Amino acid sequence: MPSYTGEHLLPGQIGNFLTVLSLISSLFATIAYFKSVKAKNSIEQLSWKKIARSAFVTEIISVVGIFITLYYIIYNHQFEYAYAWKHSNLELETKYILSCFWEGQEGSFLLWSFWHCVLGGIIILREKEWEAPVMVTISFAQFALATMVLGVFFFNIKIGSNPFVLMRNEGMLSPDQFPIGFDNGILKTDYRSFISDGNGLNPLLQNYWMVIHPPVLFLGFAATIVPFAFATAALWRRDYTGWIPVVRPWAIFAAAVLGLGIMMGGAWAYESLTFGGYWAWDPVENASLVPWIIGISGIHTLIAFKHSGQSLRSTFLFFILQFLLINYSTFLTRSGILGDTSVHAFTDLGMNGQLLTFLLVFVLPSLILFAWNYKKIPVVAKEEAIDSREFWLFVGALLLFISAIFIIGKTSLPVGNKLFGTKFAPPQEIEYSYNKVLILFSFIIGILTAISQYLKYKQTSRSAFLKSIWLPTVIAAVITFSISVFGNINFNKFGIGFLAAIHFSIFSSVYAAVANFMYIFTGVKGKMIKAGASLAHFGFGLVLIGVLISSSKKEVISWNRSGIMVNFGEGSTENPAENLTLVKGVATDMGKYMVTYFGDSINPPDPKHYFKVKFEDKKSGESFILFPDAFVNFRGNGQLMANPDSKHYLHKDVFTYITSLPNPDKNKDTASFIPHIMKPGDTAFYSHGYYVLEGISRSSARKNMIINPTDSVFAVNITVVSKDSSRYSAEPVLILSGNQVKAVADTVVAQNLVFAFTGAEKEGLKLGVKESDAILQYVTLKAYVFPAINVLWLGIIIMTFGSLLAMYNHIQKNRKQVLKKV
Amino acid sequence: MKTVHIVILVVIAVAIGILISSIGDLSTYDTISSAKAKPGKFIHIIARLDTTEGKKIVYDALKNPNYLSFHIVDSLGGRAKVVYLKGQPPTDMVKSDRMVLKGKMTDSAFLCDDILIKCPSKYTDSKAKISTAAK
Repeated sequence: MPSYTGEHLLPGQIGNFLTVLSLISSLFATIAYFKSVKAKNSIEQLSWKKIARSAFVTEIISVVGIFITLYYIIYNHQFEYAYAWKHSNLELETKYILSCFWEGQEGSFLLWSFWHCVLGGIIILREKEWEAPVMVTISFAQFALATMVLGVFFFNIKIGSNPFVLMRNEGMLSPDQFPIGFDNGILKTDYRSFISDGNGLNPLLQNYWMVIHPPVLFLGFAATIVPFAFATAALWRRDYTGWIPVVRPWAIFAAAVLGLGIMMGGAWAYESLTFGGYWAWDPVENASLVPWIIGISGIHTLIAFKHSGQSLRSTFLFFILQFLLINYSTFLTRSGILGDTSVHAFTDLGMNGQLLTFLLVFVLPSLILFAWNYKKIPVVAKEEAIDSREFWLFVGALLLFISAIFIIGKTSLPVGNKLFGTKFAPPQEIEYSYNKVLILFSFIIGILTAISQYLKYKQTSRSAFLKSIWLPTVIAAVITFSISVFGNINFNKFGIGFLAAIHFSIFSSVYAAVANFMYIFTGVKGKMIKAGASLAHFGFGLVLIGVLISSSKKEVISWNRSGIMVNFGEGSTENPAENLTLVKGVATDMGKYMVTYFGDSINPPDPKHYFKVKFEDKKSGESFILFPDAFVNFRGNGQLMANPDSKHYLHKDVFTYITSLPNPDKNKDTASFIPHIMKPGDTAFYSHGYYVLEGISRSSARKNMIINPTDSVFAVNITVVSKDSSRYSAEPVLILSGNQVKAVADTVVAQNLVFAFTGAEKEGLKLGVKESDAILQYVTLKAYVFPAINVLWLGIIIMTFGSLLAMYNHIQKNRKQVLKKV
Repeated sequence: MKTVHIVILVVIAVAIGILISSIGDLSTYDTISSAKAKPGKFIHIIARLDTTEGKKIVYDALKNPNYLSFHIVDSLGGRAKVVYLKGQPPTDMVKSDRMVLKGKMTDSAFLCDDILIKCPSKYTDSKAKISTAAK
């Protein structure tokens, strides 16, 4: 084995050591916690627990150590490591180093593992009697995750993908790609000095959202293991009810953070990517939404059980399924199976067998355990009354669950294809195929969200219910009525039935928001500490309103209406044409606005180009400037990677992004002047219209011309009339100064026309006319108006805050319970 | 039978109904030749960019910012022209080793609604040139 100069092998060795240490310590913790649960007497129990704890602390230290080591490698640009080379480069701003971490699969597994460590640590500190059985599951999950970054071959099967591998060991350096580093087909010992820079982070990910969205989302992912671990621990210990109060804050925490993480992804897509929206029913998005929905189901059946003894079995099932679906979504997004249906799945790392094992190793034991214990889980023989709160909580949870099954069923189409060898593909209108079903669910769930808090457990007195519910109902009806009448919601692309469904759902979501907001004052009497649930539901109502209005009223304002350009493509009549080309300096009509592209700017070291686009309201005259930006020809790849910019109003956003720029190759001015002989009054055609030679004069009205008093000036006045009947004037000038003849051409930028006046002959005036794209500076962009988008963001913030408040409240309650017992 | 059981049955029945009805919306993956056999039907084609015989990607934002045309070839050797009326060529189209195209086959070309680009690697290009500029 030759040794190479310029390599830093120590960090990699430390990293590999810690990876193995983490694998062993998590396995050790699993076994020791298992022994502790199985131990016959308390002394044995405690001694195993102590061993387990030190093993888990070792695990925490190793994972944190792996993190620090990898950070060190990336931060110091040690490009001999494949991970650093693939995901970073010298230019990368320090704040994005963390983004490099989770750009790759390995780093995102580490992030997940890190959050498990944090959560496990909290459980060790707080959940005394549940610690051992719960930690068995979490330690085992840590073991499973540790195998994902192991990177060894076991009987020719690749287990894990290691972030500390060297480029030269990965076949990434070959004589073809890297000739300078090779000598007669052998890697030079100083090869490292020839690798001057890394491949770098995808520019689309160089964004603050990429720094904060993955950690929050993965915390949500990681947190779902806690309710799962509690549920399986309860089944295992046959203590079917004791876990309920303890798991409640954990379940709420998982749902709150997961929901926030998902919608941060939506906000990222909306704010910084050119997806033109915040949600597209992409499989990757669905795969994280579904566990959230099921978690919400579980929280609600848990509450129903707490107060009435009903729905315990479904609570078990929901919390188990939530985590299993997290694992399933990990399988979907990382195995490459979604390749043909998703825009942002991870690449296949060749670990599908391992990912499938990772899934099954949790699915089988937990579901078998559930089935085994099913009959033993206590149920209340008495039927719940139809007017009781628990009945409707259960119905709501069931509907949420069915909608989750619907979403994951549709998302799993590629899995079905693989299993059954079919070749089905998603339908034409993907978003509509989800929306048309889920809008019905959202209608019912909105109504249930509104009324459930007003129902009582066991039985509700009809008069008391009516007395408290009539006011919110009337207010919601009035608000909805005014939205329906004045809101101009007429989304009729999919027919009147769907439009009606939108209006009904707007009512139910307004109802949910109003009823829960009022409940804060009428139900919990304004005690904020108890208002968590109402606040969260109020936020949920706002989210629904925001989603419904912003999607049904999303308006494209860059419709290409220009009469010249369209209608020469096949079938162009049935296709929307959302791209509009703005020529620099020319105001273009866009819906409510006149829009002008008037300049660009760059501010190094920021590698982005900023384009200045001015929007001017046609009626009010109010104007604002947007700066959509883009990586132009990023590291010579000849591509445009754009980020949008938007003007935020309280009730709407105006949103635009660049879709195309002039191609620099085409931009060389290759056109030449074509001579024309014309007399005053003559007309000639060009490709987009015609022009008239109006006459000739002895002085020029043009500015910025250097004319000496002794010079003779001949100016030709031309009027250009384009096909869309816009009129422009041009004035090419001929200047005689002494013996010198100087022709000053004039340009009609909007029409790509250049005129030059070159002299006179008997037959008429000699004009040179040139049509050239190269003179033009332009941008092509899309622009939208998103109404009510802020209602959505506000709703998410309130929902998260309300959930965390409820979690805090339940932690306090549990603490008081414990104190009482003592 | 409890009310809850009735509710569960009803909800499940509705859910099954919805699932069955949504199967009808599904599209299929086709090859270029099988797509030509069913013009006007919404389908998915998996193919790659065809640049043989001087075939070019045509896009000129000044002429029409919504018109893009290019040629594709699939694994069975079927060839077709594609017209996309929603704008510029997607990022990485030239680098891609595979594209999923959604749309309808017409007499003159495949009229495409949506293009999904599959690169050798999604976020990183492992075959990327190794930067060897002097330090």
